[in-house]
Amino acid sequence: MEQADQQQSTATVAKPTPRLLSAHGEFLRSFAVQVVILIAVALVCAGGAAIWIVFNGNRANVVAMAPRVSEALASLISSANIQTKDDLVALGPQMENFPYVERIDVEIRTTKTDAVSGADNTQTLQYHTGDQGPTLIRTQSPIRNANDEVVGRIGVAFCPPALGWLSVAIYTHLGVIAVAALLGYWLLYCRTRRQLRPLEQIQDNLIAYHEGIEPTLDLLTVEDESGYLSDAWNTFVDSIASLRREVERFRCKTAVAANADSNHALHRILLEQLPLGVMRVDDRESITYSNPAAAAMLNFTREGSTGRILSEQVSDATVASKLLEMRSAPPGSSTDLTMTRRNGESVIRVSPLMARGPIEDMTLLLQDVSQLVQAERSRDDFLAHITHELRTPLTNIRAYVETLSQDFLEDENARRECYNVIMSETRRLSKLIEDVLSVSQIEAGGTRLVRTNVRVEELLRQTAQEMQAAADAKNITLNLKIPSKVPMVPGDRHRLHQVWTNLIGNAIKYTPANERVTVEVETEGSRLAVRVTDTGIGIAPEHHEKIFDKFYRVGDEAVSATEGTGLGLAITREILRIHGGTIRVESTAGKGSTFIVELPTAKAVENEIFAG
Amino acid sequence: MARIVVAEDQSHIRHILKMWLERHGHTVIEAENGLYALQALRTEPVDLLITDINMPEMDGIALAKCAFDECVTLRHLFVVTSRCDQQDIIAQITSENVTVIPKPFSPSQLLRDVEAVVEGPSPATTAVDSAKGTG
Repeated sequence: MEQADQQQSTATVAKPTPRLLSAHGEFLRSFAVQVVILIAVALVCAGGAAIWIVFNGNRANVVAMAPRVSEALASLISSANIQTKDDLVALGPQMENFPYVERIDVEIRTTKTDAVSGADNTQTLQYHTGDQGPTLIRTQSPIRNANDEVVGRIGVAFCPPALGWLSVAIYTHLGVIAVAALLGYWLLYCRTRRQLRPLEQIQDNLIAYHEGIEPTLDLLTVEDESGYLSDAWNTFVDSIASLRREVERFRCKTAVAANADSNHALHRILLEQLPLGVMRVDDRESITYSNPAAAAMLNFTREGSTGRILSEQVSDATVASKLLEMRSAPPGSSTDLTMTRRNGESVIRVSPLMARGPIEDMTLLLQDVSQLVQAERSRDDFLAHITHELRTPLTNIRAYVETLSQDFLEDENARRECYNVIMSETRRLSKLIEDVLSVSQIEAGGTRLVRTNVRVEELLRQTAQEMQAAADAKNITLNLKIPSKVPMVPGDRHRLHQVWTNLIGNAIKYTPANERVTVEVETEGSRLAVRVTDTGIGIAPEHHEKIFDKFYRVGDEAVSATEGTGLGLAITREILRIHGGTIRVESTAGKGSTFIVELPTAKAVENEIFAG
Repeated sequence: MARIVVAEDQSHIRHILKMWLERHGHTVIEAENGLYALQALRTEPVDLLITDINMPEMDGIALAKCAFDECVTLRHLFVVTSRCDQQDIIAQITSENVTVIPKPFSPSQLLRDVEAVVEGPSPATTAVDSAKGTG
């Protein structure tokens, strides 16, 4: 855009500069010409008027005296007794004395009788004077004889008075008028053309601009070096172009400023709502900015913190010190800070952002990685547990296999015992792997449930039959208390079977021989309750919640002596959770336990769907 | 021949160790947890202690820390464990006469280590990896 401005500026410089002084001179010259023309016209008009007055005065005199002259001529002819044309001609010198008479027509009845016919002879005689010219007025008068009888008539044609010098003056004047008219026309034509030439260019250029043929104002400049109008027009066009550039520049500036304001507002909103903490600290260790997340992570009040020393805001001196040490940390590095809170500890991962130098503001990015660290710990614990749990059966298998391979067991029973241990440990290993896969799948949400309406009482009876052998081995009585009508439960039959197997299996496993395990089914409103009660070793209250955690096993002797992966109850709880059910335990150490499972019935689920 | 206490909550492992050690002429005292093992150390002139780490009542680390003080005849300590943090275990016990053997271990290799200790000077504190057992 700057380049475009420069180009436009260059184009402006290249244009002819308007010459106003020259324009003024032109105006004065034009004014002088006009004055001269006006004077000439005035003189011509005055001369013409004078000639006209004189001319009209003479004509009026001729017209006024015409009747009297005609009467005088009639008297003259009457008195002269005109009989022939010669008589009339003889009167010529006398008639010449009458002015302005052009022609005289005499019609007279002579007294001389015609010799042949004897009748009176009437003659028409004409007499022309020397004056020639157009007839101004014609008069007629009767000719009377001495008896006052009309014997004829006389017609006199008067010519206009002889013009003489006036005629020269008139023709000269007309010539001057004609020349002046031609000269004026020529001058006006040239002047008008010169004046219209820039107007024509302006008109053409304006039409081109209006129709979009020429998008810029550059071509609107009129190239007429001598024209005052063109100079004024060019100045006007330059002004408009300059104004347009200014408007465009202002618009650009406004747009840039608006864009910058918009970006600034967006950045601020992002920073304010960012879950990551962002904090800037200057070289005097003062906080120049902190977003709400940073203040929350470092446990200080954000209001009024700007401009305050960091160590005054962050109560933990170690944390404050480590934050300030980040100034010398390389970009991309990070360090974890432990913040002590009322509800425990949180781990804040701090990394420097755009650290340019020691004297500039330091920008720190803070991230609460407590959950991440907790997840990493859980993963490590899980791996440690699974490794430990895998090594135990593997140790047994390896030791007993090696023992058998040494071939120093002569007793068949001892060898059979070794085989049994290997088999049971292999089963334990398989069960462990199966449980680990189950819990991983369920926790990751990858379990695909095949949901049908399951008859829980049938599933419980099936499970009890399957577990009966284990119960019989310890002479444990397995009681089922199932009412005649049990509502169905929507769920995955295989997974629910896994639940009952785990619960009844645990009950048998942790119940001493000759005791009792009872499974009761009750309907409680829209939920089905299944209670698995044993009279076994029981669970102390402090373990009631933890026994549902993965790999958690109560650390007493009886439990340790019992085979188990520590995953059964965790899997059970997860399966029930994804079925919308719950599990809890009521137990007293040494007095047996009751595991209570609650599941929504099919009818309740249907009602919920229709209501939802 | 040596008098050896085997502290292990897993009865199968305890049983197989006893079988191997007694077959080679050693006397074995079984203990289901650290407390039983400590009682044996206090009452018997024990030469060697083979202990697991994760045991109820008293774990192997607590037992190992006080074993040499409780039994003056004790010459060496074998720690068999399925835990992964073996270096931490060595650091916690802070005794030179300790050998950490990771599970799963080879009974024959453990027997050779026991007899090496019985017949010779005490080995330095080492962590024997599972490869040694198979190799």
